[in-house]
Amino acid sequence: MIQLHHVTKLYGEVIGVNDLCLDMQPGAYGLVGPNGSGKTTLINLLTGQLRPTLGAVKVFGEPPSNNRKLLRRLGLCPATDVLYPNVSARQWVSYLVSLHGFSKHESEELAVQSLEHVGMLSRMDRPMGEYSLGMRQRAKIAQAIAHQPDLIILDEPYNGLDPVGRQQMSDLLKRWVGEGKSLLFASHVLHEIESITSSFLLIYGGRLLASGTSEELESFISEAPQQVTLVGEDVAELVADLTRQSWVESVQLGDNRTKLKVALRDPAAFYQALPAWINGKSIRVDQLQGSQSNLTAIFDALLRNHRGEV
Amino acid sequence: MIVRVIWEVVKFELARSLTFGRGMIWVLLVLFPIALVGILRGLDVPLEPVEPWGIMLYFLVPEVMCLLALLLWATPVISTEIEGQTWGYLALRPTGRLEVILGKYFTAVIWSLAATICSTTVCIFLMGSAGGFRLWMVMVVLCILSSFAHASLYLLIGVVFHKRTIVTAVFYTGAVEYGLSFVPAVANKMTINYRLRGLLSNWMDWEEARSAAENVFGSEPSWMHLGVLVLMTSVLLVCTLARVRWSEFPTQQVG
Amino acid sequence: MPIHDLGYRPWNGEKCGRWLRPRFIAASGIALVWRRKWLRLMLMLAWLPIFVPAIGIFAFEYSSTEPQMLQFVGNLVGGPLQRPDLAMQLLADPDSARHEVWTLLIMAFFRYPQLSAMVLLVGLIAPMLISYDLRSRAYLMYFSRPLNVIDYMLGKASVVWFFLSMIVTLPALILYLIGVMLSPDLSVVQQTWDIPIRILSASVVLLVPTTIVAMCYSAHTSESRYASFSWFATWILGFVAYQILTFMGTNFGPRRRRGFVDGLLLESIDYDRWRLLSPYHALGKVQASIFGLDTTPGSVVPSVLLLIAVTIVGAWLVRRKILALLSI
Repeated sequence: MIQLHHVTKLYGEVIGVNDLCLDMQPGAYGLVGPNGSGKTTLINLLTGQLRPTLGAVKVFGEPPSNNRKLLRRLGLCPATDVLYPNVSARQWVSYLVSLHGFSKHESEELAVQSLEHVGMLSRMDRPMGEYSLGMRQRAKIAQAIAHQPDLIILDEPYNGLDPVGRQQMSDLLKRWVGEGKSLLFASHVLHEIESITSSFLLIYGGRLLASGTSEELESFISEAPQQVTLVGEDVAELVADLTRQSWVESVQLGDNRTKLKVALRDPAAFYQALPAWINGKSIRVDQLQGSQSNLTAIFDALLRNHRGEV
Repeated sequence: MIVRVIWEVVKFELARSLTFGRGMIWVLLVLFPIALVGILRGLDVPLEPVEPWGIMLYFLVPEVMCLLALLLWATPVISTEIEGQTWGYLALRPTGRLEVILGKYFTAVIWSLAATICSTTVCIFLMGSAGGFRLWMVMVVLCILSSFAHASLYLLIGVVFHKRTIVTAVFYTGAVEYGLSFVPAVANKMTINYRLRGLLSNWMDWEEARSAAENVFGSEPSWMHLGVLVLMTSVLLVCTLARVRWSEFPTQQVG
Repeated sequence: MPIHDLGYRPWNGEKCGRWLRPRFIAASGIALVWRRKWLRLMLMLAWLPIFVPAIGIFAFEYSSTEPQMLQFVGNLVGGPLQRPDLAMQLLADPDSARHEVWTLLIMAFFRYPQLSAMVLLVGLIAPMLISYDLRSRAYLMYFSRPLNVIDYMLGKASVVWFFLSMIVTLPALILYLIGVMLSPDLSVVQQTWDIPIRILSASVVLLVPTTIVAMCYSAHTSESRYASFSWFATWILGFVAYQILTFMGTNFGPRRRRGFVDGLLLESIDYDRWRLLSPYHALGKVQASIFGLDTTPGSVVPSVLLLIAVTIVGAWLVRRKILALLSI
């Protein structure tokens, strides 16, 4: 479905994406990366908005740039907001569908159908200037799916949606995938993607760091080095034991000797040894904090791996 | 299908641009020449000879009014979409680049023509017998030619300089269409305004004006002026479409 | 109900003075605008016209040792600057004509190339100043700080004033300095001490109302193209209206052979009657009056009143618009 062969995109001296190699079969994928990691650049390359500086991009076997036939098979919901203040969602979606070559009647029908799917039927004739952020988001998704593409690409589609809206969006996307269509879902929030697909692409600094399923990633995290923080009056007593262990990288005691930061090469070994130390010395530990977030842990671990530190 | 898509674009753009603000601007553009002609008539400025009136009307409507209308409707075709972050939606459609640009071109021409023809008609009416059907007809045709030709020029400027569209268009207009078009050189024959002025003097048989200022009104026959105008419009449009097809416009506002 | 701590309220340290606060808005605005390559290019190009009056002043001062230079200056003053009386005076008694020649050259610099450059530069900078804040709701960021609307307006206006003074005031003052440096001795300062003051006054007259008008357009739309269009349309429509109403219906004298447009001899034209329709010509009247070079018989008062009214009304409209956005 999507093939990237050593794709690099440069904006002058700034690297957008760097030497991406990828071969994706039809299905649903999550594109995960923090802000500025190159997600939007990759999306623009896949949709033909940008041409690669080096390498080749193919979608459904063809280069996407200025490829009218291919564009008919793609749908995009970008992250940017849309505001045509005095145009209704129905008019806008119908217009965009008509740009695919559908007749006026067909465009109207498809537009209404897609707006119904996203829960905008009762509000589709109001001017978009009166819409909330969530309503505009739904209109954006409607225009992405209205012409029934084979692949939709969503960039932060949950932006502005309330919990009910998010649930509805998840249901819609699951149905979409269930119908055999393909999906690429870009986000910096892992659990949003996890509710739709278990296949991930992790991008950071313009590089594709890893791809795989969520199980593979969890296993990688658990084996990857981590940092934990212990807070308590007696945590300083753990320093001697920790520094003797080969699976401890560094130990840092701060905050009047009540906060202990430990960088671990083998978190499993630490969790195994910790209860015995606490019980044996009757140490009081008030808090045990793991890594800041799953995503941070993943990228941190991946980068250390790529830098050869592990 | 291309014609149908272009028509859909025109309808959408017209619907989208029917706002109070735009309407007021349109009315202002229409009323401006009418007000000036009305004031001059109120001051009893003699209508004979008619050449100064005709030249003034030409300058006001097919030049100034047309250019101002197109400055608003033709020049920012790309910059509006980029500023509104809607370019990505259009560019992802199979007809999102070329046909949309052509649709916007025709929309700009329609706005401009509507303003200039209304304005011309009322001004000629105010001029009474001195105006006449011939002058009206000539002015309307010049409005049509000016709208199409200048719209293609401003479209190209808007596509090439999408970050500073209006300033570039104003600078170009001042420096080239008004500055260079009065210079007796080969360069002035390549300006739209020179060709339009030539057609004006030919069609109105204003020999005295032409002989007194050949660098302004030219001496070529009408068919040559028309041919050059059509050629320039076509070339500018082709360049615009080629540029749009191959450019990588930002999908969101930068800087 | 607990009041949320917004962070800056408990600040007990020294805050900068009220009147300095617009400086920070101005500084960030200037830094943002300065990043644009085209603007820097335009600023450079806007300095090019300084060479003409500079050469004129240089030639005038140098004519004390090279008398043929005086003829060149005489041709410049009598021809393009349309002051044959002054040309004769400077040929007869150059010293007595110094003040007027300097002011004429500096005013011509203000009036023709720099006014055009100003229109383009403001058209490039000003439309986005407030309209982008409206579009992105960034004005909320400003007003969650201890800033009021006047601070905001002054800060934004200062961005435009900074760049305009770089292409208008600074070059004009440098022209004056060139004149002083090239003159035979420092006694010319006695003759011409008022010129820098006139330059500063003419700058204020040029910068303040035009900036307020541009900001007014920018404040009333979230799409910068409307603000740009309104700005340029104001100048174009005003200029065209003035030219047509002033020159149409005039008794045309015998035409010279050089060409139609520049060959007209115009008789008994009232240059002041329609002046208030055109910002270009109203500004020109006031500036000419400041430099003591107003040759038209009409009073400068209507133009001055117009500029004051535009400034006050424009500022009021901007303030009103911003306050309306902030009201609940």
